[in-house]
Amino acid sequence: MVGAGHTRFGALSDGPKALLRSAVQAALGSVDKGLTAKQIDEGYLATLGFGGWQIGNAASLLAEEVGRPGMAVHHVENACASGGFALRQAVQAIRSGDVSVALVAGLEKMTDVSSSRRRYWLGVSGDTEWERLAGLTFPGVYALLASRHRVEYGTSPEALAAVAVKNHDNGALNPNAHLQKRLTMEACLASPRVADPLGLTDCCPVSDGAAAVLLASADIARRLTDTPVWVVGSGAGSDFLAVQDRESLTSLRATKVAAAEAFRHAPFTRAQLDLAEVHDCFTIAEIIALEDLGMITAGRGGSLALAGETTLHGRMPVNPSGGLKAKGHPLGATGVSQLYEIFQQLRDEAGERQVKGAERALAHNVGGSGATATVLLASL
Amino acid sequence: MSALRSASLVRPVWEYRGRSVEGADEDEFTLLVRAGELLLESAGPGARRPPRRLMTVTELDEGAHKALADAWGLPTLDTVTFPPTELGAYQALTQALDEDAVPGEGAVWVLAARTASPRPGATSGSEPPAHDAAAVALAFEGTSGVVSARKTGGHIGADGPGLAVERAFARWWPAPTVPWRAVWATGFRYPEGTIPWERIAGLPPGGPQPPLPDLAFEDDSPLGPLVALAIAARDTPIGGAAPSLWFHATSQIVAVRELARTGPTTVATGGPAPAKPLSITDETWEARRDPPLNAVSEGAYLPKARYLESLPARWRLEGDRCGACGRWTLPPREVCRFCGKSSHLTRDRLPRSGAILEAVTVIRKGAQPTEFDYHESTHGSYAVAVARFPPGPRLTFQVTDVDPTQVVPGQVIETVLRRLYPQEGTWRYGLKARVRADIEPTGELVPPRAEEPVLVEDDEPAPTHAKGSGGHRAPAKGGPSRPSGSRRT
Repeated sequence: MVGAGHTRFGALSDGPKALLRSAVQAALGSVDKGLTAKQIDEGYLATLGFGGWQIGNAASLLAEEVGRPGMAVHHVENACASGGFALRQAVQAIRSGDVSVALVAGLEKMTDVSSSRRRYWLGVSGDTEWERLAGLTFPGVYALLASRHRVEYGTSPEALAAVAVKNHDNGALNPNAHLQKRLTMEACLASPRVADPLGLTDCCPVSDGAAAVLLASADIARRLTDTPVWVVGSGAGSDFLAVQDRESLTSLRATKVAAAEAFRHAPFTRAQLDLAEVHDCFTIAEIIALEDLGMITAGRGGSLALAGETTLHGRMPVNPSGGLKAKGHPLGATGVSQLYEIFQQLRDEAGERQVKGAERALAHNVGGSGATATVLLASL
Repeated sequence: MSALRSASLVRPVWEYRGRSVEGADEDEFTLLVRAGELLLESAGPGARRPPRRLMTVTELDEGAHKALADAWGLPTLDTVTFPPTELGAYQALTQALDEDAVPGEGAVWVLAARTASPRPGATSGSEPPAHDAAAVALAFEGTSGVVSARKTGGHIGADGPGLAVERAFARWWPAPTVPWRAVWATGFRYPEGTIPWERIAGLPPGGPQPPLPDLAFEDDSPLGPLVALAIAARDTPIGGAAPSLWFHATSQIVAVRELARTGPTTVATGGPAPAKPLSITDETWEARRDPPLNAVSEGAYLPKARYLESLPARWRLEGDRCGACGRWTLPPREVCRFCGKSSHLTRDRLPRSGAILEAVTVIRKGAQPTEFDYHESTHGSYAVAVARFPPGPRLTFQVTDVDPTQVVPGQVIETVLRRLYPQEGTWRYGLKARVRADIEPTGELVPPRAEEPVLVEDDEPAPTHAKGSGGHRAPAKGGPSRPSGSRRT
C-alpha cells in the first residue's frame, strides 16, 4: 500500500461521483513521492450500486474520476465484502505480475433514496426467497445470530452494548466517522429495539462515503514511499447464502476459511496482531468475528468486550476507527476503508486514535450475513 | 346412506369485539387448507388418503381448488362446487349424507370457510364483524359414524319461515322432549329473538332449554349447517340420546334431521390455542380494509414462476434427503448441495410438527422488508425464528398466532399455511410457524458466563519469515515467483 484516501462518512450532500473523485484524488495525493494517474495499471471499484443509481458498468467511473480514461477496470460486488474482495483481487493481480500499480476504491451513496427503497437495498444481499420473504432484513438476520449466541454462550445485551460503547469511543476520535459521539451502556440498553435482542445502538448507521487505496508491486512501492504498508496475507471464503443452511448459527464459516488462508503463510500469528479492523455491522458481528478469526475462544467474544480488552488501550485493540458501528458503513466502501485505517495506523498517522507502536494489523470484511468474507493481513 | 366419519373445525385464535376473526395472514383458502390438513391427520399417522370427491361450499375459483390439493400434497381432486350460501350447504350435505356409500371407495369431503374481515371498500373497517370466522371440513364414508336417522322438512310457504319450521319440527318430534342438542344454524330469526321451543316441541315455558350453538352464523352463511353437524358429531355420546340437527336453508327450504351414531367419529379442532385469546385492536382492524394487493416489490423480488416452482418445498416441506451425507436439500435439487453427490437422493417430506426453535427475533416497526409493511400495520411487530426439524434441516419462519415477545428458543412448533405478502395482484402463501403451547420448551437457554476472557496465545505455526524480510511481498512485475500466501492447496 502506497497511498490511501477517504471521504467523511455520513449523510453527505455530495453525490456518488463526487465522493469517488474525492477519495481517489486524496489517495493519489497521499503517495509520499508522488504518483500520477497514468501510472495506474488497473482499477477495481467495490460498490453494491445502492439505490440503483448505476448498477452496470459502474467501474468505468473510476477511470473517469481518477483521470485515467482507458484503463482496465473491474466492478467487484460481494455485498458488504465488496471492498475486501476488490483488494484481494488487486493483490492477486499484482502478485501475478500482470499489474504493477492498482487503484482500489469503494463507494456507496445510501442516503439519497426513500426509506422504503432503502429497506429494499439493505436486504438485497441476503437470501431472498427463504430469509427476506420470511420477513427478515439484516438486523433480523443478525438478531437471530445474537439470539443463538445467547442460547449457546450466554452472550448478554450488556456484552453487545459494550461493543457499541467501545466503538463509539473510538469513532469520537475519528474525524471521518459518521457518528462521532460517545455512548453510555445505559443509553445502549435503553435504545429502541429494532430486532430483538438488537436495539438501535447495536446497528451501524446508513452512511454515504468512499475510500481508496493504491497498491503497488514491491519494487515500485519502495520507489513511491519510504514507509509502504505491506499486504502480507489475504484470504477469502464463502458459505451458504441463507443462515438456516449453515453449519452453525453462532459462527461464520466464510470468516474461518478466510482467516485460515490468510494466516497460513503469514509472517506473524494472531497473538502478534497489534490491532484488528473487523466487520461490526451489528455489535454481535464483532463478537462473532473475533471468535471466528481465532483471536479468542468460541463463545468468549462477549466477555472480551465487557472486560475492556478491545479498547484502544486494551490488549487487543479492535476497530480503532470506530468500526462500521460508529465510523459508518457505506457498503462497498467499508472493506477499503478498513485498509485506509490500517495504512494510517501502521504509519503512525492515526492521530488521537493511534494504537501505539502498531506494526501488524488485520482487516476482516463480511458480505451480508456471512455468505462471503475476506481477511487481509498487513504489516510495516 | 353415508356416515360422517370425521370432521374438523378450525377457529382462528384472534378475537375482535367478541367475535372470532381470522388473523391478517389468514383467509378462506388458508382456513380450508388447515381444516383439510386436520381431516387428513385425524385418520391417523400415515393414513393420508385422498378423498374420492371434494365438495366445496365457497367462493374459491378453479385455481384455488387446485391449490388446495397442492397444499395437502394430494393429486388433483374430483371437485364439485356449491354456491357459498345456506342453500349450497344444504345441497352439499344432502348429497353427501344421502348418497349410497360404497365402503373402501374413499371419502367424500364437504368443506366451507368463512372470514370475518371487512370486505374491501367497506366504509369503516372498525365496524364489528357480522359473524365469526371459521372453517369446517366433513368426511363422509361408509356407514359407520354419524348418520341421518330421520329427516323432515318442507318448502316455506306464504305463511313464512316460522310456521314452516314449526310444522317440520312437529312432524319430526312428536314427543314433548327436549332435544339433546339443537344447533341454531340459520339466518332466519324468530321475532322473539330466541327459539320458541315451547311452541315448537310442546315444552313448558321456562323449562329446560337446549344448549345454544358454539358459533352463530346469523346471515346466509354456508357454515351454519356444516358447523352444526360437526358439533353434533363431536358432542354425541355413543349410545346416548340422539341429537337433533336442524337448519333452515335460505328463504325456500326448511330441513330437520335426527342424527344417530353408528360408530366412532373423530372430530379435530384447530390445534393448540394460545394461553390467552389474542385481541385485535380497532386500529389494526381498520388497517385490514385495503390490503395493498397490487403492490409491486420495490426490492428483493421473487418472480411468480420461481414462487410456483418452489411450492412443494414452501408448502409441503418437500426436499431431498441425501443418503451419502444424511443432509436435506430444500427445495429438491439434482445434486446434494452439501456433499455434491447426486446418486443417493430420496424425495421426502419434513414433519409438519415437532421442529424446535433455535434462534428468535422480534422484527420491530421499520425493520421489516417492505413486503411486510401491511403485516406490520395489521399485526404490529412479529417474530421470526430459525427452526430445526428432527431430521436435521433448519428453516426460517415467521411465527404467527402469538404475542411475538413470548416466542423463545427451545419452543416446539408446527407449520401452518398462511398468507405471506401481497404481490402483483395476488397473495403469496407459505408456511409459518405456530408455537405448540401443549409441548414444554426444551429449555436450552444457558445463563451468562462470568469467566474471564482468554485471548488466544500463539496457536498458529511460528512465522516462516522474520519480520522485516518482506514476508510475502509482491514480486516484481513479471517476476517468476508465485507466493503461496494466498494459494489454496
